[in-house]
Amino acid sequence: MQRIHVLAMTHDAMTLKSAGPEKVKAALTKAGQSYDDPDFLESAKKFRQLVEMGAFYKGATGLSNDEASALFYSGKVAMYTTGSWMAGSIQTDAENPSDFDVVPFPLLGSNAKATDFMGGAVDSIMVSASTKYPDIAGKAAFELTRSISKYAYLDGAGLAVWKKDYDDSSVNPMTKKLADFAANATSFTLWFDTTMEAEDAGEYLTLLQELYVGEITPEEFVSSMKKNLE
Amino acid sequence: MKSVRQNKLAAILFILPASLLFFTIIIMPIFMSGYYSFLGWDGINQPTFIGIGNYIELFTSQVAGFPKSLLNALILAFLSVFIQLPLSLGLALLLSRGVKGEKFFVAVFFMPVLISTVVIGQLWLKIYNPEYGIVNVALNSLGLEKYTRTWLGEQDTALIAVFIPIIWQYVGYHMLLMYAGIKSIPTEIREAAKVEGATEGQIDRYIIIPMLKPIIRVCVIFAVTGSLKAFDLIYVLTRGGPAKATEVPSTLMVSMIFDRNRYGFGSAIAIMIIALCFFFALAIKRAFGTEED
Repeated sequence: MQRIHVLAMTHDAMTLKSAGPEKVKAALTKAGQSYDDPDFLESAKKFRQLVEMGAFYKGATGLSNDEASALFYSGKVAMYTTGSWMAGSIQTDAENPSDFDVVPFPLLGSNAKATDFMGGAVDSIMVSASTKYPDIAGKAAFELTRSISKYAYLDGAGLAVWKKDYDDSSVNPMTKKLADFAANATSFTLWFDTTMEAEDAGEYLTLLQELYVGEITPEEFVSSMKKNLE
Repeated sequence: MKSVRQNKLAAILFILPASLLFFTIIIMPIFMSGYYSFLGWDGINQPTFIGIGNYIELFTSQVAGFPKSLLNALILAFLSVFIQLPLSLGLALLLSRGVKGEKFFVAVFFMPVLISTVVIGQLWLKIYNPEYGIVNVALNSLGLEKYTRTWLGEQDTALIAVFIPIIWQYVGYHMLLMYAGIKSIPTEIREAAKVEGATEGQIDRYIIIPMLKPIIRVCVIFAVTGSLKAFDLIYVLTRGGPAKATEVPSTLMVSMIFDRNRYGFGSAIAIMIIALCFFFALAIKRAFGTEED
């Protein structure tokens, strides 16, 4: 399963750029949108097309995330669908960090904008409703998240979700560019397997693997996803 | 000594710690899993009792893929019994004849059993790596590029690629069991056969192997039950992928419980694994006959 996540990120992004954020959200949260829909089918077809034309590294399903990113860092693969965290790792793991750049995932059709992104603020700290000290606990969570946001950004491990009132000149240019993308984003859509319930998400990743290896067709993929989300 | 044995209280006291451990660590979890297997439960929210619903789903759901995982485990069991054990027996017979460096070879063949499975998994991941793994590098340098594969990433090669290290790892284990068994056979028997003019092959065929039958039976039981609960190496190498090509019941159980929050369904798989292990252990015992007991 670990190896499907990179593929899933590519498919998630393609689907977002094909169907648009509202439709994706409505389908994944079971809010009246069927997954068996031309826009979702288009994304699955394009995904399959990429597999058939050899766009993915030949052994993609047999590689761990580390092995896959090592191929990218060493210049053996040309593109890598990933998240903002890689901007930090490129600085330390790639031989020539300046060789790398970041671009938003391209559009498929006209339902989405270039400024619609996958991801968003997924890490969160919560306070239990039954705590005896809601105010103090709330303040603690507040301060913790503010520091996590700041230091993750300064280290290139993530983007700042808080207003930046500190010197960020030490942050690598790629993370800064990403921060600009995020600042001008029109929407954020959580990764499919983060949004869906655990059982549906597991099924999604299995179906996607089957689509990747060609065991099912794009049509079967969307109709199975429809059943999965019913 | 005799008075201690007759003292029931002392006996109970001495047995108590072990039986408490046995009960709480082995028996209780089995019964709890049995109970959970009748529930529709995500591990957090209130469970609902669904009777044998999980078991019906096990054998009817195409999506869950339990029959396929079971078939994979049975293929592994078959390979273990008909490839791994004959290899072990061959090595044990050879080494016990007193070849030069006997102790050294016993240690070498047993070594994989001592190494952590995760380490072995990492080693084999490197061996199978499509880019720099020794398998593909060797094929390339021999001019056999067309046979290079992404061994763990392609559906038609992943299963066998995962089974090879599993079988390799435990050859030494069974060899050691059999080797110890052969060594415990009195040397007079072997010598007597030699005096009568039997060849080494005949001695093995007509004397050693029949006398080794109880050990072989134990090895077959270990190999089959071990295959049914195989988990660690598969989890490290492929996690049951690609697209369930290497799924076995244990990896399916873990993915159901921890990836999909289906505690009830996962528990039903656990119960099936236990039941199948018991079934095969008893069936093998019966198949071998019980005359040596």
